[in-house]
Amino acid sequence: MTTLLDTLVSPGLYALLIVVYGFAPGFVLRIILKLYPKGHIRRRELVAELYAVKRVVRPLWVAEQVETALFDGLAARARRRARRRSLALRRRVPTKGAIIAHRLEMISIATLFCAVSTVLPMHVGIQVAVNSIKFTIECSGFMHVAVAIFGTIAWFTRHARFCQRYPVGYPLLGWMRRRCNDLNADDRG
Amino acid sequence: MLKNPTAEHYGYELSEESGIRSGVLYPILTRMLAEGWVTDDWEDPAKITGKKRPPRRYYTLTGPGQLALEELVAKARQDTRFRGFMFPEFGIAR
Repeated sequence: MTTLLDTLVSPGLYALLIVVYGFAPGFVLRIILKLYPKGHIRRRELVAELYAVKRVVRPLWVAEQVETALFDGLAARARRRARRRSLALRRRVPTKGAIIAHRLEMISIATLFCAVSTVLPMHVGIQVAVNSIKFTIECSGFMHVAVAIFGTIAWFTRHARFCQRYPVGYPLLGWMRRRCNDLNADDRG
Repeated sequence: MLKNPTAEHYGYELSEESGIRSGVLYPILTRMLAEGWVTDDWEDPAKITGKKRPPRRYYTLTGPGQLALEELVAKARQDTRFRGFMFPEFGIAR
């Protein structure tokens, strides 16, 4: 408590306050205005108005702008973010995160199937007879077929879902996108 | 603003005249802009004489804005909660 009081009454703190607020209110104001989203009109407006404020009350006015920036700036930032998000959803533009998540998912599916198929020993398999000729289909062969089939199904189904939400960015599967859109239209209709 | 409806006002000037803190005033101005009660414009840099400073953003009361504000002030005058805090000539709450 004593230390806190000492700090509060220390001349160093006042010197710092005078330096920061007294000599560089414009600098402090610009830092405070960073709370506003980039390009917000208030950033320019408040900087311009600083020069209309009397020098004596400038530090107080700058301190007052913290409140303005907190309530006005952060709200504007939140509004802008929400608008951007809803716009992205409306345009169905895939976000960077969604693309990365989708790719990671694909990689993990492929890795899983490949790992299983390569771990299995080559001699394990099933014997089948066609016209009395015996064939041995190796299990690893099965697994490779399974990789192909399940991988393709997984990829297409996931991709279909992905296309439904984010149809932009995969031009080769445009037909799937159109199909998804048609299905969606049918659902709505 | 009602004192001089055709004049251009900037935020700090309005804040000083009305005694409203900037944290309250700017959101009000934003809402008034959205409602079409005021229009905004930037000061012409060529008109800035003397001091070197950036151009200010000016707000001007529109016709519908003036009507709406007058109506609002008239309502506030009748409200007992504001009666003690009103400027008699302009009816602006302090």
